[in-house]
Amino acid sequence: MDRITILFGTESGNAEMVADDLSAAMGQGGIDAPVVSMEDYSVDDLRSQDVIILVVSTYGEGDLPETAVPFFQALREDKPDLAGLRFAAFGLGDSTYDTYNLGVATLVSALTDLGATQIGETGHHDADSGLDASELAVTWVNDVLALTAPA
Amino acid sequence: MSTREQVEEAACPEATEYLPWTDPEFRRDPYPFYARALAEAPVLRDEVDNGFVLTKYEDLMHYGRLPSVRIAPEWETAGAWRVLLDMALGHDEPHHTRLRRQTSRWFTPKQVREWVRTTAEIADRLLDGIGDDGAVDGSDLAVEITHRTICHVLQVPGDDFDEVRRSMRQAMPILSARPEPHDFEAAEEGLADLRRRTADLISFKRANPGDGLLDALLDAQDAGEMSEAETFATTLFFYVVGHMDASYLISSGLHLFSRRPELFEAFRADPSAHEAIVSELVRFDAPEPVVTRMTTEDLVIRGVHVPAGSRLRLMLGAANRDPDVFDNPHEFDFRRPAEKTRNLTFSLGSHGCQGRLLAEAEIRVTFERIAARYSRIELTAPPVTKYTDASRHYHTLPLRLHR
Repeated sequence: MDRITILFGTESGNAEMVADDLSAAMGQGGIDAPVVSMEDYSVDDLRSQDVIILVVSTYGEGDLPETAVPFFQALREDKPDLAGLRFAAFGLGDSTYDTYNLGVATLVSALTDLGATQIGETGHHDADSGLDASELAVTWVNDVLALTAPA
Repeated sequence: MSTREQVEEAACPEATEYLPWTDPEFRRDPYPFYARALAEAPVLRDEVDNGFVLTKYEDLMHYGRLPSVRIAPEWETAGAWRVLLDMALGHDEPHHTRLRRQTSRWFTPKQVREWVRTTAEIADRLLDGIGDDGAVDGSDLAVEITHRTICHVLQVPGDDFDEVRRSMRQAMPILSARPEPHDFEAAEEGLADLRRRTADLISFKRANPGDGLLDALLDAQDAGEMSEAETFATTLFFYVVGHMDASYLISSGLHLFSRRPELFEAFRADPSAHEAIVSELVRFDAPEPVVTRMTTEDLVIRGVHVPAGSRLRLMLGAANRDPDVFDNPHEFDFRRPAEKTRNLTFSLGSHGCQGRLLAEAEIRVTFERIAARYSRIELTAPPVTKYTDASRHYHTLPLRLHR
């Protein structure tokens, strides 16, 4: 696994920051991990990918953040066959809301409905925890990458 | 009077019994007053204000974020500040999100890292101008740094910091729970000046296009995504708001460092503590300790019936010292556990301050630039401060910086 695209969907830029920090950490491990905003990404390109990582927040009452909306709509409309795709997903949320991390759950469902396979558990950052989102995400991604390593 | 009514009355005293809005002692140091309200009467009734006052952190987080609790009606009653009805802070959904998204990408963590490079340059230039005696007014420094930073973001001239400060001092007192007639007049006068300046900025930008925030707002207006009034109100808000919050917190922090030199030493000694020290400062001394909302349905809050159409006065400053959330809430303790550092100074929910990261980074960078040259901050005369129950201001903060 020497190239894994990281797609982020963000409202305030925190998911972008986490995606950048993941990319830097993965780069140190020898993985080329380009960071692309979901709003600049064509869902057609998903079919040529082996593994991708999603980083996405939640906005308002459980909605997707601004830059994830067109990506999600394209998945729903184009319905690409994603049987060959594996993905890992990390969400940024706030557990003081009932809709905690619904955004990432929405995208995970959308991808698995199209045949993609999730690697590991969805990672979650809770804004109410006071913990650093990037540090948490880097720990999470190392666990996930261990699952993708050849046996 | 029935028993039930007696019980309700006992559970909900008149606000001014606990929070005497116009008492100078309350305005100077509201925290002992907040503490008593938190302990004895977390829901207060304010008939003059046609509403209720909430102090508990938990209540602010819940009722302050209910979709039925609205913001727009509040700006109708805010005198000259009704201009903000045309920006994100003046709207409920869906227009709130539409307008907020016009500016969100300008205040992301990545962008903020970029903006505070400029903050550091401005701070260094101003510090270069301090003489060998180290004398400087901390509040002047704070205002000029924050003003010039946001002007860099907007890409407009940044020389009018003193005039904008003067107008903001006139405009803010109206937000008190007990505004006086002259506060309305002063706010009209202050906002008239700020509106004139905003119109000048827009004319300047039309004549000198670039790629700043104001260019993006004007492009959105030209594309029909924002009305002219929305562009105007959004520009005015971002142009002036740093004078209130980021600037006050820089002054408050410098003042604190002068009283507690060991905190400045801790800041100098440990770069990894910089963010935590700023975060604790933000919790400790909210520049605007209250926001207001309007209920649109009947609510029962801790057994108190709150009818639709009531104002909710959400005491951010009180919630920041709620002992159910913060151990030793009146201690300045920047080593609190991470999960016990979340304060409400920059408001909460969807209307949480979009410039929060920029404000916190400006504060941190200003302290860092000072700490790079100086080891001690001395207060050389009592600062001149003006406080209402709703906003806090340094008029002077005479300091001597020691190498």
